[in-house]
Amino acid sequence: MSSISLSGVSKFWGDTIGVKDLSLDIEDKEFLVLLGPSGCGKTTTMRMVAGLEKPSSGTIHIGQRDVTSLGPRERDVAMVFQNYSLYPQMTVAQNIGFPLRARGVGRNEQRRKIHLAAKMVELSDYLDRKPAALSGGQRQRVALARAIVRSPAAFLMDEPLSNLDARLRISMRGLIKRLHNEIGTSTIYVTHDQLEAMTLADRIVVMRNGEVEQIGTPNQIYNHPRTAFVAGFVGSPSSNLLDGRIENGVFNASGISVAAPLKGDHRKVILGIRPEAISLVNEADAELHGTVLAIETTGDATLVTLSVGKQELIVKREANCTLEPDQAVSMKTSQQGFFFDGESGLAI
Amino acid sequence: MKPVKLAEGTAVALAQVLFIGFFVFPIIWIFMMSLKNFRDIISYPPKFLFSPTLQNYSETILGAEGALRAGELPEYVRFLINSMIISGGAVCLAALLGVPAAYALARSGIPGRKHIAFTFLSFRFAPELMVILPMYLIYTQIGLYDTYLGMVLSHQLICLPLVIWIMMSFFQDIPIEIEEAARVDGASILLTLRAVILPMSGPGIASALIIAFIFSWNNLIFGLVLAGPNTRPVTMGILQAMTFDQIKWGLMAAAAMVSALPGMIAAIYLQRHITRGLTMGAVK
Ligand SMILES: Nc1ncnc2c1ncn2[C@@H]1O[C@H](COP(=O)(O)OP(=O)(O)O)[C@@H](O)[C@H]1O
Ligand SMILES: [Mg+2]
Repeated sequence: MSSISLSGVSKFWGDTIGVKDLSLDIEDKEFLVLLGPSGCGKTTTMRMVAGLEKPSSGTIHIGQRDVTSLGPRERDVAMVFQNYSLYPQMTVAQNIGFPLRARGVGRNEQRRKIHLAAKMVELSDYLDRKPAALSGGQRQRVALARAIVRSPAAFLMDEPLSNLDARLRISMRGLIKRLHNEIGTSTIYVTHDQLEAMTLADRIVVMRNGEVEQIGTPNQIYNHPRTAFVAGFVGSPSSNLLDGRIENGVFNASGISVAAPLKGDHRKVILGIRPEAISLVNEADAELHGTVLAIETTGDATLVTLSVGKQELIVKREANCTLEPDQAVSMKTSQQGFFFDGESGLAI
Repeated sequence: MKPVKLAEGTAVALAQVLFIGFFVFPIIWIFMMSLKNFRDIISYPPKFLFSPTLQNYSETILGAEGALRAGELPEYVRFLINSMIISGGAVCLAALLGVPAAYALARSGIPGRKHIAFTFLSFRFAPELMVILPMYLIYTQIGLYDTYLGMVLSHQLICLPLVIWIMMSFFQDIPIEIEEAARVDGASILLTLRAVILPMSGPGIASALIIAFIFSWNNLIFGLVLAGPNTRPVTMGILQAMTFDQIKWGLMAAAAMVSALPGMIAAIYLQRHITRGLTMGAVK
C-alpha cells in the first residue's frame, strides 16, 4: 500500500491532447475518483499510472519510487478493465491466480489466496467455471478478485461497472466500497457517472479536455463547484447554467432577474441553479418567468423543462406535479445559486 | 409460387449444376479412369459403363510384381512417405518460425511492419519458376539437392507466408486489453504468449497449418526441380506414369486419386477451419 503522485504529467499523440500538465497526489488508502465526460483523459491518466502508456512529460511516483520509466510489471499495481479482460481459456480460479503464477508464488500459497479472494467477492462456488459461463456481474467480480489476490500497491479501475445493468451496478458499487473499507488499498477509479463518483469517492478529480477542473471531496464538488463546467456536470439532473449580465446587484437575462451579491455592471455572468432549488410562486414574487416545454416522470419525481427567454431550464418537482405543456410558470430560487465569471467560467 | 420466383429458382439451380459440374466432372472422370483397364480408357467414344477393376490401384500402391519380389518398397509408397516428411517438416518449421513472427508483426511497433508483412505475402505472388533455377544452382553447389532438408527449406516459400499471414490476422483479432491485463498482472512476454495468447489461438494455428500442409502437399514444381530419386514427392509420382514409350493412363489416374486424398479429406472434415483461415487473411 502506498501513495501515488503525479507531477506535471502530460500525454500527447501528435496534436491530440490526452492529458495536459496533470498534478495529483493520491494518499495511502485513499479512494480517488477521476470523473469527466468521455474523451477527457481519464483512461489515459490511469494507463500512465499502470505503465501501459508512457507520459510525454512529467513524473509519476508510487510510494517513494519514481516509476515513470518502469513497465507495468515493475509497478505492482492491479487494474480492472471496463470489458473485464479475463483470460477466456482459464477457469475462474486460474484467472484469479494468474498474477500469483506470474510472480512464482507456490502452489499451496496460490490456492489459499485464490480461495480467500474468491470468498471476498462471493465467487467460491464458481472457481471451476470458464469466463464464458459467467454473467457480466460475475465476470467483473472475477476481475476484482484477480486484482485483490496479490495485495498490490494500488488498484486502478477503469469504468468497471459501465457494462452492467443498473441494478447490478448498484450492488457492485456496494461491493467495491466494502472491499475498499476492508483492504484499504489506495484506489484510482475512473467513471463518467457522477453518482458513482459521489457515492464511492473520498476525493473526486473532475477532468475536462485533459485538464483538471476541480479536486475535492464529493461535498466540496457538489456544494462549491469551482467552475461552471463542474456545476453543469454534477448532480442528477445537473445544475442549470443560465447566461446573463449583472446590473445593480441583479442577475438579468430575458425572463430572469435574480438578486446577486456581486459588483460590476454589464458584466457577463453565468448563474448555476440546481433543478431542485427552484420553487413555483405567484407572479409578484417571481424571479424567473417561463413556459413549460416538456414533462418527464421518473417515478419519484417529475422533471419539467421550461423555456425562459431564449434559454432552457430544468426544474425538479414532486411526482404528482400538475403542470402542463405551454403553461406559463412563475418561479423563484429557493437556495442561493452559483455565480461564475462569463469568460473564464470560474466561480465568483 | 409466383412465376418470377419459379424462374429465378430454376436459374439458380441451373447455375449451381453448371458450377458443380465444372469442378466435379474432372474428378469423376479421373476416378472412372482409375477404375478402367487400358482398353476401356482408350476406347472412343468414351465408355460410361464398364467393368471396374482395382488393378491400377494395386499396381500403384503395391508396385509392379517385380519390385515386390525384390523386397523393395513400391515406388509410389516411397513418394507418399517423402511427401509426408517434406510437407510435415515444412509445416512444423513454418509453425516454429511463423507463429512468433506473426505475433511480432501483429503486436510490436516495429517501423514498416506492414511492409514486412506484405513482403512475406508477396512470396506467394511470384511464380515459383522465378526462383527455382537459381535455387537449383545453389542447392547443387551446397549439397541440398535431393535432400529432405533442402525440400523442407524450399517449401518455406509456400508455408511460411501462409502461416504468417493467417496468424497475423488472428493475433490482431485478440483484444489488446487481454495482453495488457497480463502485463499489469506481472506476466513476462513469454508467459503471456504461452499461457494467454497461444491457448486462445488454437483454432487459428490449426487452420493455418492445415492450409499450409495442403498447399505444400499439392506442390509440383519444387519436387520436379529440386528433388532427385531419394526425395520425390507424390505429385512427381503421378508424372512417373509417363514413361518414355507410353503413358500409363490408369496408373496416373490412380496415383492422382490417392495423392488428392489428404486435400479432399481435409476439405470435407476441416472445412470450417479452412474457410476461416483463408478468409482471415483475405477479408480483413
Ligand atoms: N492511443 C491513442 N492515440 C491517439 N489519441 C488517443 C489515444 N488514446 C487516447 N487518445 C485521445 O486522448 C483523449 C483522451 O482519451 P481517454 O483518456 O481515453 O478519455 P476518457 O477515458 O476520459 O474517455 C481522447 O481525445 C482520445 O481520442
Ligand atoms: Mg475511458
